[in-house]
Amino acid sequence: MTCTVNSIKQLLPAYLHQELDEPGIELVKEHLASCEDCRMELSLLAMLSTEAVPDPGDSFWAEMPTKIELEVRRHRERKRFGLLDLLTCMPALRPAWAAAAVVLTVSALLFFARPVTHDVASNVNQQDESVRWDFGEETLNTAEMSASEVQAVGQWAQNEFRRISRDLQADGPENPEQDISEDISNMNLEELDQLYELLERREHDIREKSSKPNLISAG
Amino acid sequence: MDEDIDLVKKTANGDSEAFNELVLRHQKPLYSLLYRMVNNHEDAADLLQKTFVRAFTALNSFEQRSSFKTWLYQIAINLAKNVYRARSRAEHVPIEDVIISRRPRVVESLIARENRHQIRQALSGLPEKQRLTLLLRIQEEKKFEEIAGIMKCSLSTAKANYHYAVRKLKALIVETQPGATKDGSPGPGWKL
Repeated sequence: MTCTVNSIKQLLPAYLHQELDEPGIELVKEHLASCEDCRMELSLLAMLSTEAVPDPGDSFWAEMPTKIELEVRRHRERKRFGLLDLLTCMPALRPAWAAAAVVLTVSALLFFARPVTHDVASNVNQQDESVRWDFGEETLNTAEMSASEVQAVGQWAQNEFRRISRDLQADGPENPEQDISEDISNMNLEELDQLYELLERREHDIREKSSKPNLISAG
Repeated sequence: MDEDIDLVKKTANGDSEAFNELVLRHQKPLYSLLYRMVNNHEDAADLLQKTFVRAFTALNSFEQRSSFKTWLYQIAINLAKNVYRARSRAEHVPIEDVIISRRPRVVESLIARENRHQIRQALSGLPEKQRLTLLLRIQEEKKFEEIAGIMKCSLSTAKANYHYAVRKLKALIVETQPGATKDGSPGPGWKL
């Protein structure tokens, strides 16, 4: 028959672990003598309490503090470098991160190095077929250009090319026929002496150059 | 307890000797608890390490409302619950099935070593809180006040959980006895 004396039942674990004082022990013993249900319960508790836990050995206990200390340090480092850890501790994701980095870099380069188009069509002077080039903020949409506009742009590009080629080929003052008398009149004596020496040297060089072919042909 | 608090403070200030002392002081009882919860060395050792790592990396959150030992037990139990629950999902055996499938045995044979595994299986069929309470009270020899602190429940709840756990286990034993009576009283053989 099931015992309902809960006051004794609650004392059974303490009785088992020898936590009771002398009057408590006597009280439980007295009850156990007449209650089979509580004897059974105590047997069950005794069986559970003697369920041994295997000892993993001295080396296990001795090494545990070091293991824990290392793991705590790792944990703190992981926390400090959270994002870096995310990238490095997921080997499966490394190619994806690398691919993403490449795509971003290429995109950035394309964006900054892209050719900037300008609305040159509106700057074309149709009469002399020259183009006034302003670096305005508006960009040129080539898809929307008419045939005449495209032709005008082509003409402008040709003119620009000619001008740049001429400038590059010209070796010397931009305008050789320019009147420099005013500049000379503003020179002081020292500057005039330097100019005189320079002209003499140039004249000497020209004479030497002109004499060399004769020497070769003579030789 | 005061010594623990002192060691905790020193550990928080980077004292590695205090750290070691705390580990050495608490590792054995914690391992024992964890082993009884998960029933194997590998998981118990892993959980032991995780418990200390969790505690030492969250020392700031230890508010000293309970003892350091109780706080460690709370962490250990929470970590072990995850392992226990994962395993229960994989190999859950309801306590009713355990009772029905067991062929009748005499009580003496139940106490015998070879049947301890079956008792463990029966224990695993108990609701988590009841099982933990029983484990803490009987196997870890914790008092009900301590259990209430560890389980974060009232003293009466801790006692009730223990009471229901024992009652269910006894029911299992009674069911498996050949001499069990209809009113649920045990047959012969259960003697201290």
